[in-house]
Amino acid sequence: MLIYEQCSCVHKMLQEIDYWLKMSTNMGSGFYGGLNQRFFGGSGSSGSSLVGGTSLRRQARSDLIDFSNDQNLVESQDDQIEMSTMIHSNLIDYLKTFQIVCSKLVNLFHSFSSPNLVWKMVNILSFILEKNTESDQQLIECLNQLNINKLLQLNSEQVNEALIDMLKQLLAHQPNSPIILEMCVSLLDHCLTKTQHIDDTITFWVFTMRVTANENPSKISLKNLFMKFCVSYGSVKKEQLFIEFLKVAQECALIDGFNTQQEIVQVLDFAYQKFRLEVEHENQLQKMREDKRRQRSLSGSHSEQESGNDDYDDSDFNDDSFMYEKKLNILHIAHIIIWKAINEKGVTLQDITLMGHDAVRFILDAQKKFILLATAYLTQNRVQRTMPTSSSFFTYLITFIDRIIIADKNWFMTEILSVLHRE
Amino acid sequence: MPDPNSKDEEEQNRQDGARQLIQLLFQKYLPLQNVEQWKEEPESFIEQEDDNYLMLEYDMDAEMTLSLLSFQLIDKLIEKFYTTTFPFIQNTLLQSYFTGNLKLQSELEEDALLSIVCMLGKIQKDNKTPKDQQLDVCFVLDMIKQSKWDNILFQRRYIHILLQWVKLIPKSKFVHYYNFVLENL
Repeated sequence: MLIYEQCSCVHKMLQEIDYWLKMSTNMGSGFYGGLNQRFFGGSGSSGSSLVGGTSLRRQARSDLIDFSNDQNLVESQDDQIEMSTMIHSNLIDYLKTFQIVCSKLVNLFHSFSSPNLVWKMVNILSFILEKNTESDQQLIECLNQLNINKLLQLNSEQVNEALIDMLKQLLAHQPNSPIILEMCVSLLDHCLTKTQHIDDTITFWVFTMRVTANENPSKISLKNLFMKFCVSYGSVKKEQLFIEFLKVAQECALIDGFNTQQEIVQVLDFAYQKFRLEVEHENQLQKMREDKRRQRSLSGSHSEQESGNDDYDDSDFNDDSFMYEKKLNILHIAHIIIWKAINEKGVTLQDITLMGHDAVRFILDAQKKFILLATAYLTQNRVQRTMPTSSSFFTYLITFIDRIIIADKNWFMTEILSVLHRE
Repeated sequence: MPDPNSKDEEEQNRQDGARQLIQLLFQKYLPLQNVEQWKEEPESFIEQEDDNYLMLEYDMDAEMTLSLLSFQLIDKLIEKFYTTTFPFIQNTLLQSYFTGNLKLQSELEEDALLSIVCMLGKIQKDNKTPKDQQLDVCFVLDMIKQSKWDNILFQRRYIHILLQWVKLIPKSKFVHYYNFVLENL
């Protein structure tokens, strides 16, 4: 009956200590020295024991807590900081606190369903977790009892946010832990399936992909998650979501998530299809722009030619300010895959292992359509210089093609340039 | 208003309305009215309590229960007439309560009296009351622990007092209370 109030009280007491610790940090490391110099004529307070010294000072000056006086305010802060630092360092067992609070709150999570209260309880846990920088295994054992799915069923944005914050912190702290990764995957799976709080969720997806250690035994569940949702989120219309999804795909490539020949071919085909759609869309806008210009020219308006800034008239592209960012992120997928084959001097998949040149040739063949399209785009399309990310996209595109040429010049000449020449 | 410095004894002891009102309100109207809900549906009770704290930010809201209205009124009376109400609460009400001289009808009335300690924590924190002029909350907490701990209603009050006094509790005793709450969780 009292668990919620007791946990809130523990939280509030920890916050009080934390407040003074932060105050100490904000004031800088020279705080004590400077303060003692100013108010104690340089002798400081180190002559007395911490507690004794403090109480003596209090006895000497009864108006210590009178905040209306600046000097007293600083003096009081000095005491508070000293005591709080000591309490934090020596007297509070944060692991024990977490073990007790977590085990008690787990029961409440089963019986409480109010989003406000659940949100507060998750925040209490997160706050105590922040203070635990050691004993990871024991923390994980406690968290294992937490039923994330039950909390997600509340479908509350604030609970979702609090859970994401907590899991982010945990995963960053323990990227090797399969239990924490499984909790993250559970949350992602739930929210991606139900399209709940999708902006936050997809950002968390990218975070999870980036932070999880390569050695995490449950890494496979990230790949399975990607495979489960690649069709639905790979065709999402909302640009920012799509870009975040592309980042997930990049991370999946980086952690060797695509580990069969078929998966490699599929993901490169996905990149090709998406790049093609983007190029087609851009060409369409370009064509519209040229038609408009032609019409203007026929109607006798020569202002564009006179001003000489036709390269900068991007008004038709304004509705697609993410055009280069999208292409850039698609390009990253293909680039990561070839870069890994070159850098790691081989490709080890579940169904085939290729070394050296064979590995590079395998990847080049798998992304031939993509490279053809990218090279054609580079040679044929004009840069819309005022559009965001144009510069980094073209720099990156040139780097990509340059890497292909360096990797296998003959292949590039026969499979790409000659084909483009024929076309 | 009483004048403690007056030579006239009558002036010194003059009953002021604020003190009388506090005594009347805490005994008659402040006690928790929904204590059964707290025992049977703690979740909705806590949620309602959160709403109540929010409501206290506003003046005399029409939605307020009688208990909440009394809480707000007592809080204001203490704030407005602090020089007479605080000594009255500290030296008359609480002292006579802890020495067994104040006879209260029920545990809910006792809890209501102790809830005034919560109010004082907030008021003294806001007023930045000097340490030596603050209520000795450690005494109150220790008394609850010693003589009332077998009743869960007072365990709850203990937690609520700590919550309101967390910034004022001497840091030398802070860990003692922290560990006590944790051990009782």
